[in-house]
Amino acid sequence: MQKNDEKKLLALLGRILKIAPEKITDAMAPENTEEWDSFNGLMIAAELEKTFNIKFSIEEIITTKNVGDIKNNLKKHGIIL
Amino acid sequence: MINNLKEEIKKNNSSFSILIKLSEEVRRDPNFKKDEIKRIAILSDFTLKGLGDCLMSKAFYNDIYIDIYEGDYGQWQQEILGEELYKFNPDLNFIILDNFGLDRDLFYNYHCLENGKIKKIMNDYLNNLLSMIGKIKNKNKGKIVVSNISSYGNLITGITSNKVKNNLRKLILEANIVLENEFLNDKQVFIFDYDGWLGHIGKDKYLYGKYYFLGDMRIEPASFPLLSDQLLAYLIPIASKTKKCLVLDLDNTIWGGIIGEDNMEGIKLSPTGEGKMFYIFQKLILSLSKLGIILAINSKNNKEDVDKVFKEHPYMILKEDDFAAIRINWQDKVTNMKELAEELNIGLDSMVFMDDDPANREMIRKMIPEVEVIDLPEDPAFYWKTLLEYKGFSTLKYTDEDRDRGKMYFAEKKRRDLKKELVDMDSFLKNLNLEVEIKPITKFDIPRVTQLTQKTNQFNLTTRRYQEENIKKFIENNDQVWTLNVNDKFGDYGLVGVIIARSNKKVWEIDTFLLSCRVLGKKIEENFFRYMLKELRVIESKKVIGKYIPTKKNMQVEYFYKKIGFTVQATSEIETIWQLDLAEFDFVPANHITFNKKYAKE
Repeated sequence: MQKNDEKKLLALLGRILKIAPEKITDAMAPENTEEWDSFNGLMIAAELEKTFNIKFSIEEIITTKNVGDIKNNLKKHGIIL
Repeated sequence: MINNLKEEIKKNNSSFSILIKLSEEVRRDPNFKKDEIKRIAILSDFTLKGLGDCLMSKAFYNDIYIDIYEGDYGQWQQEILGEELYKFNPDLNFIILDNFGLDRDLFYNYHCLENGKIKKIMNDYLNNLLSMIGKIKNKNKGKIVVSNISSYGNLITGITSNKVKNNLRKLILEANIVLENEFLNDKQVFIFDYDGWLGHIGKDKYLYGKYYFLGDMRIEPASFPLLSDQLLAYLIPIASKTKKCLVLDLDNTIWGGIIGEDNMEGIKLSPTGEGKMFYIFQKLILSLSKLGIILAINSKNNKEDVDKVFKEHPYMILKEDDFAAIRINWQDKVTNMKELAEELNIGLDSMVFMDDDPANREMIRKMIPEVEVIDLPEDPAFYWKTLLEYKGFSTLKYTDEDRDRGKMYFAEKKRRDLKKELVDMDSFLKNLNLEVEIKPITKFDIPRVTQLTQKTNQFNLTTRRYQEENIKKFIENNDQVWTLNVNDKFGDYGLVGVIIARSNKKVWEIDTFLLSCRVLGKKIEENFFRYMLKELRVIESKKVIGKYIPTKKNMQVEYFYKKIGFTVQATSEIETIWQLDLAEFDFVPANHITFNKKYAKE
């Protein structure tokens, strides 16, 4: 189950950021990832909400700086990775 | 062969990011037909990034190939006033606006503004919009789809909203009616009921959510796939992909239960109680057939059991006469489906199949991928909604012919039954009492003639698709546009054939020659054409040039010109050019057809 959720997360990020899921690291951020523009940032948030059936606050979305933050946010919403 | 990419799109048809991702593959797919591309422009006053890609994937699923022009963010008016849009030359322009949302002062001040001022705001808005639409019309011949004005459901004035001096909801409704009326008879401009659609999917859920504050997304990204479905409905008729025939299973599809086991008394079909879901579904199917969609049955059953239901069940809404062709037997549904297509003389890709059994659906999908298979939900209570949501029957215009098509196909069924009794073809044809009228086009014929050029695939020598404007142009140029009307003892087929002959210096060129498939097999084809040649000779006796442009569907007319006596002038992969000198041509009318009886009287 946990493995599955992590897989879902990486697949989603890989799809939007156009990167192979296995190459995704916690340090990946808009500064070092070409496809991670503001639109794709919002798309990641929207798609995570849909995939995991959760709702982020605006604060959570704005303060997310990298993949590590995304994982922490998911954990806050009860998604165990 | 099943297309994996199409399967993938179907599986993920509600996921925004997956549809965007798949659109990249769509562009590279070997089945992406570049020569059939429709150019689509999306203009908006808010962020709709990614909508075009979503639409591209969904279009591909429907065998429609598109190229997208997305206007710069918020710059729909600059796009219309600029040049880039027209260089792209769209076949279809979508203008999606959210002008009366939270960003407008009106939302906060409507209840305290003077009446005159608010009227002026509305008028200025409409005038600007109409002038923008006019600007596109001047420079582009493509269709234009404009969203109407949406309003937020909850207003600050609450339950007194319709008591305050300026009722915002009412003002927007009135403006929308003005907009609809303005384009009621316009062939180029269509008003998309954006407000209605938003209400349907849920304004609270999708309008002005969090992403509005984060990225000016007036509607939530999650709604983009749903919006694509709405836009697709306009794309289908423009790409000439409108479906013609709904093929239905019977047991557990148009009634609950299995007739062979539950008997007539046991099946669920009634105006009240559990049978109501099927009763309503049938009413909706009948309603659809009145729009010109042909109905057919493909069912594994004993014919006698079903006949009894048709004849005796008190709540059957659909009658046997409503179906243009019927296969009720124990042979496999794939064979039945192919036979139905043949009997109705329509392509398999014009057919839509509805069956409650997933195994049957899978089989049709695998064996005849051309047929569109609708996944009915497990709960029959939602069948009727599935039918209403389906976009494949979309057309931009309904003609009187559409309305009567069901009747005409039923008359055709009776004709076929007669064919079985009369073995001898000549006496069969004579018995039909065929009457044809061949005459120059009148302005009332323009919509139907246009529609025939759009929809006719099989008996069509050049398959040139025209809009009404094109047909009008032919008429203005004094080109010969002639029509064929046919009736026989069973009924009137209406306008079913078109010939467009252009006078080109020393030759007549047959630009278009087509016949609706419902009159084929009656030896009308050659007679119509020969009659036309005779008429052309009266106007000017010279050489006639006719082209055969092969498509996947018009093989049956490959050697038509040869039958008339034409010889080959040139041939290539793209076309064969045939020629005939009118001086050497003779018209002998067939003895099973009466020509221009009605026409002569006038």
